[in-house]
Amino acid sequence: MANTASRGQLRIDGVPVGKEIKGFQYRYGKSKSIILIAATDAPLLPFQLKKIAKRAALGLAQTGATSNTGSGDIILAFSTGNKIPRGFSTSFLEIRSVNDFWITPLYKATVEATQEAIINALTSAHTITGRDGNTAFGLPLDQVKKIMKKYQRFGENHLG
Amino acid sequence: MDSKKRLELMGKIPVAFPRGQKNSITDVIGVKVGHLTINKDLKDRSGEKIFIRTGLTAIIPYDMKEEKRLFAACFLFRSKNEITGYEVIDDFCYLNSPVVISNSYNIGKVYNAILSFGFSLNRTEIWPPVVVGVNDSYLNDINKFSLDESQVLQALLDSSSGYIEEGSVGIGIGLRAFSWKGGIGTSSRILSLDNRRFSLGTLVAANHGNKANLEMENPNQNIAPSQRMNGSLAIILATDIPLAPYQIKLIVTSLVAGLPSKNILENPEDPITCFLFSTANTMSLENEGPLVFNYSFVNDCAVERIVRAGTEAIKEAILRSLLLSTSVQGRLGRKAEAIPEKEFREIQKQF
Repeated sequence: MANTASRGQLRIDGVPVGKEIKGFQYRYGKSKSIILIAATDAPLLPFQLKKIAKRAALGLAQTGATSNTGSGDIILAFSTGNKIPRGFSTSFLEIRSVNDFWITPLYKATVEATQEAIINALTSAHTITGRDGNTAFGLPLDQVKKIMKKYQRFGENHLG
Repeated sequence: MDSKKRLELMGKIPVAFPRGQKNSITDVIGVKVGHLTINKDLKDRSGEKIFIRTGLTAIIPYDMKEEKRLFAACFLFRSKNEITGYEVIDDFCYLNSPVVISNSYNIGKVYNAILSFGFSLNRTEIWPPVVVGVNDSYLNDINKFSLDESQVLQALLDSSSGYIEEGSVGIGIGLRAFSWKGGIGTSSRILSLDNRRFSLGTLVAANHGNKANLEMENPNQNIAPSQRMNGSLAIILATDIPLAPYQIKLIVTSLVAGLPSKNILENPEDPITCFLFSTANTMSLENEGPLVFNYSFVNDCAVERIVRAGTEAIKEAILRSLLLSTSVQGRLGRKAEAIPEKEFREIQKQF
């Protein structure tokens, strides 16, 4: 759930899209928050999930966001890889967890998927006008395509 | 106090959980302890007497010929704790080294010796070395002597799983607690979980609770910096209960909170280090280990009993460190006296 950072900060794949976009004047507001949820079926222990949550913040940073003051950024990571029965019916639990030595692909995937999810939230949202005539503009996809091309990020087959 | 009296007082320490066979951290199978005690009077070049009252106490968590890691966690209460490897253990939750208590100035020597210990066993990894530093400069001429790396290595190799010496031994030789002679103490407890027997053992280096000036009657009187005696309490625990890293963190924090107030309040500057490792689950390092490890962890409902048993063992170990320490004379004509019976009973009341 993306509701954070100022437009000028937006980067997609390193391209300063926010700076390049023309028009769509908006009334400046404070940044609010972003909620990032990372789910995985990889069996992980709590300390490993904390590290996954930290990596989600790196994905957020790749979109240009800097967790500005007042932005309440909440990150949650959970794993469905271990099922813990409710209550204390058993004295011992059999738990599996990925060896830390081999965990890096999960970190990479977290950063990549987080960045992409935030961009997906922006590219899927359309313009809405709310109270006091405040308008939040949907990302102008035609402009974004041109900007990405200008920075030679995409071949023809990427954005259609 | 004679040894008979000591035994009698030790017998009076109340127990809710049964003690292990040796009442020692070595009741946890695989755990070994080694002491190196340096108690020497030397002379420097100008003929001035030097008092060496230092050493080390090493805890070997498992047969380190095997390449594996254990789950561990450490809680540092107050600042000024000296410990190497802390950040790695906090982040990755594993122990892959002996835990050695030495004086602050010998941390580097001991660190190197732990690495040599690993090389001598042909391990591919013995990292991060864990060395806990304590200040024994009340009695020891800390500026005039440092341990020899080969001595440290020998102490690690000579460590044993039998009964261990307590009191003014190892790093305990130069320590002072509650303004009496402090040192090393150990104790253990047995817990039954689901009809399985487990051990929980602790070893402490008691160097805390020293008043700035024993004769100081007026509490508002200025304390000269030289009279300030900063101490510390180091608590190492071992168990074969299968604990998850987050449970270990919870337990070490709770154990410090459960210390008698005398330990916490007597000198509010004394840092407390509480370190716990579990030998039950191991992370094999062969070929970097498998993709996924299978663990067994105790259910959270057992944590409360583990904390109670641990608190009891720590209290007993601290009392034993006082009871079993013999008087030691040190630098500047100082002497740390073995605690007399009356004073011991006073302290015990608060435990």
